[in-house]
Amino acid sequence: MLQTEQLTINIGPQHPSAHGGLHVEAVLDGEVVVDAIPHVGYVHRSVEKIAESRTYAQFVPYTARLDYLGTHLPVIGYVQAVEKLAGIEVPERAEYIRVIMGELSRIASHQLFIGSLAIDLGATTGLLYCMRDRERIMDMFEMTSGQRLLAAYMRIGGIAEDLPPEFLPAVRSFVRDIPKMIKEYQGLLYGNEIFQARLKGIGKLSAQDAIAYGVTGPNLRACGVSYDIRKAEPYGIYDRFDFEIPVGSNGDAWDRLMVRNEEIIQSGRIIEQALDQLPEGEIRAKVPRVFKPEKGKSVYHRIEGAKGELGYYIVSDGGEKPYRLHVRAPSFVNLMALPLVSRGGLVQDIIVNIATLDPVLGEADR
Amino acid sequence: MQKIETLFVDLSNWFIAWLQSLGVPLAWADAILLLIQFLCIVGIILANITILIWLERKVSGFIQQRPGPNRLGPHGVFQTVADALKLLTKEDIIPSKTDRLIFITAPILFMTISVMLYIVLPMGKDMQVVDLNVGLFFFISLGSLTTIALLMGGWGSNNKWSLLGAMRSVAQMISYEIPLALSLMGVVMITGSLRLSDIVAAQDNVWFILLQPIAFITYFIAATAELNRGPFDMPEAEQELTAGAYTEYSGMRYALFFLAEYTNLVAVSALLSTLFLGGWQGPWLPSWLWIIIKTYLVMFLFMWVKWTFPRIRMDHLMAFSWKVLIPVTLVNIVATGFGLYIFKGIGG
Amino acid sequence: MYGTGLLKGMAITLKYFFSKKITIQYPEEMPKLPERFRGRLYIEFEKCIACGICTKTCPNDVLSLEDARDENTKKKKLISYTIDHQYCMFCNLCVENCPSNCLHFSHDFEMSRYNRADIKEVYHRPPEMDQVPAQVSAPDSGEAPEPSSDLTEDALKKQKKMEALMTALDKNPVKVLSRYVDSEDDAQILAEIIQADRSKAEKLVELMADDQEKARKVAVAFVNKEKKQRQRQTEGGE
Repeated sequence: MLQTEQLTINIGPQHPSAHGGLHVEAVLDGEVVVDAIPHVGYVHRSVEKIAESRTYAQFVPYTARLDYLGTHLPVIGYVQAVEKLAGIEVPERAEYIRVIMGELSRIASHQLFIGSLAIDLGATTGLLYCMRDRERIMDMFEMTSGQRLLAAYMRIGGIAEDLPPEFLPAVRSFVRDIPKMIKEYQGLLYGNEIFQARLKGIGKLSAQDAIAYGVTGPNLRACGVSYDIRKAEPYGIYDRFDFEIPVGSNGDAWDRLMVRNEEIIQSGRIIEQALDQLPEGEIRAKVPRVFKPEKGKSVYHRIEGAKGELGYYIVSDGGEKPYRLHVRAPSFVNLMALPLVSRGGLVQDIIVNIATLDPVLGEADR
Repeated sequence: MQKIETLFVDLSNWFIAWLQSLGVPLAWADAILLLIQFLCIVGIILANITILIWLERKVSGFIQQRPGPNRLGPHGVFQTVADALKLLTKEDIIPSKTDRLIFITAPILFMTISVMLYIVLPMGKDMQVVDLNVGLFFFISLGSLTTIALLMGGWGSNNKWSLLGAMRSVAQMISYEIPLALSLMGVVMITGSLRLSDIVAAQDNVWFILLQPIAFITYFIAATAELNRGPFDMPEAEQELTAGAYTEYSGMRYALFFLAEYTNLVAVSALLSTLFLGGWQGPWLPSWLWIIIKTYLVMFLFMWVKWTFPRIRMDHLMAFSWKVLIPVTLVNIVATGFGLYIFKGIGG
Repeated sequence: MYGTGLLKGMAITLKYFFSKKITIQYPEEMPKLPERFRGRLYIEFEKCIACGICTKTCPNDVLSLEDARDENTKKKKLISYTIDHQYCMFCNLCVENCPSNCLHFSHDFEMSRYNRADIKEVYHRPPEMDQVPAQVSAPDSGEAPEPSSDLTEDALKKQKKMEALMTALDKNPVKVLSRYVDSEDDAQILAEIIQADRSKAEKLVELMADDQEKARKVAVAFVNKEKKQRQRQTEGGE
């Protein structure tokens, strides 16, 4: 027998497909992966510590920088957590606008997922088409809040400013174009036999393993577990909308892609229903200028972020700044399933697995 | 019209006559003409590469709905010049413990082999540098020498990732040699000769792409793999672990590798248009213009394929070659044999 | 047939090869920016009342101001205002909370500079703000010069301030009044009072333009009186 040695190589943190600043230490035996250990922490910005020296209202822009690809979703999670803590009720119109913005952010995040998966596999054109379509959503965000990506549009108690008149027609035309967009991705990417061969059967994750590791979001749904916080524990006004949860069957990379693709379509449905039901009214509840929740009260509020369960744990000590704020980041937990999923596969599949687990390092490292 | 058609042939005839009038013996005159033709080929290659790099960037840009380079010169035509100047002014780094001779020779060998491919290509009516009677065989066998150059590059770099990349690349190229050669056998069987000018002449009535469509497709796929291009560029892709065999090269040596790849691309495209698209035959325009047009059409096809498809994984690549392409080409040969038998039986 | 997916993909890319390009050629063509675009911050110096809300609200210490108390009128006036853009998150908290609407976002997004020090912008008090308005005198026409207005310079400023406060009160009473009372509910009650009784509004405005402490005392007194009255009404009703 030939004597062979195991090789340890480092993928990243500076790498074209590292999704941020992810460092994966891969131990190889020839072409087969023995272990793939993720090392995170290159993008740590001590956001949780900063929260202890900012008032509740001042911290809102920082939350947008956590999952920077799902623009409004982490902000919605935070303001809803604070409203739960202090018992503030949000007006109806603000709730509907939050739903519209949240679902648009989800579509944008999934579009970027498809694009970055395409370029990681070598189809550069796929990335550019996804980015071009995502520009429409960014233009809509720019219309309302003035910022494309890191919009600080939510405030405690509601929304900063009301919608401009050109927003609603733009959203309607975007939602109408979603089926055409999906058809184009189908033709260029999903229907491509090479694409399918690269993704089908790669990186299988069983349902028990997924639940044991705490994987949530589209990755969990791809394994066959039908769990979506919007349906299991509805927050805000999600119980008024009629939508389905796409569920995969195999838990491989192809299912993760298809689940996200289907979620884009379902988000489109939610947006349409929200647009039809949008009431007039105020957009912001009256919150005292100096905002002090009760002493000793703590709350854990979770929402369905674009990557999974995004949770905020806030402890108040009666002052105007939180005593402790912890963010349960879905990307951090999802990444821990990377070794399990990559073992036994080939080296090129590590790239595919990272891409389909969809980590955002800003969120994973906070 | 006739004058433009036979411009280059007339020029070379006049040149030999002039040299003879100066008292140079015929053999020497032929040798000097050959030398000048070699230089012309090098000039053609350089011109083509310059256009090709620009064309690739423009085509990829247009496919992605953006204009590509458009700042330097009208429509960005001087972009290649800028890139070449930048690469020339870079520091020439040779890592310390490398095998210097092999490291330096690898790109030179690659380029030389690629240039040698142009000798047998017919660039117009009676316009070949050397009309070998085994022209096609010469072309295919030289094409397989490029693997040595790549292996030299990988070994000479003293870097395990380069060696890994080079070995993968060599495995890929060797696997695709067989379908490459086999798919051309159909054409040879119909023509009955390996001489390239005969093959062009045999396409008087109908182009071979209509008689041998499967051979066209399999040769196209095998050639893409040979060129390390398009969906088969796993060994040298950026999103993979390393840049493959070219990691340690910098500046002009790196440029030379890529120039050699583009040279190979033009040669293969010219061969494809010669074998399947009728070569220099075509109405109304001079023959050397026709082959340029057809070559560029085939190159556009290569680029179109590259910018649409994702990369094929290494094991799928090998499986595809051995389990799919080789049987298909063998079936093609058998079918061509049958077809010829029936055709000769009918035609007499 | 194996391969149709590949051909469909190629058809899509070919279609886009011949389509219109969506790139904006940047320095020659400027992108169309929506109205609410957040570019560089700027302040309208004359409107600023040096309340300091923006500096306290900013999460990143981008804004800082230098103020002084005017000797004559005992009001705060702004001496200089510094915006340090390198830390700005463009979160809009400062613009939103400014009571006199003097901070705005412009549409200027080309903020690159060669030195870090150049990003800081300091606005100094223009000397014209402290000048006495010039006397208008006819040249040698023989007529007596037009009498200057009865009011002194300070009184003129006070009148202007009262007018501004009146319009602010009409537009958004709760926001303005919440500075003089303890809670939002009290501000709401006070707003109702002054809407009902215009003379009380004028008295309050005069005090606000003059003396903040006294204005606060009077406002709280109004509110307490109203609260007692309402309580008596509900008790009487039961």
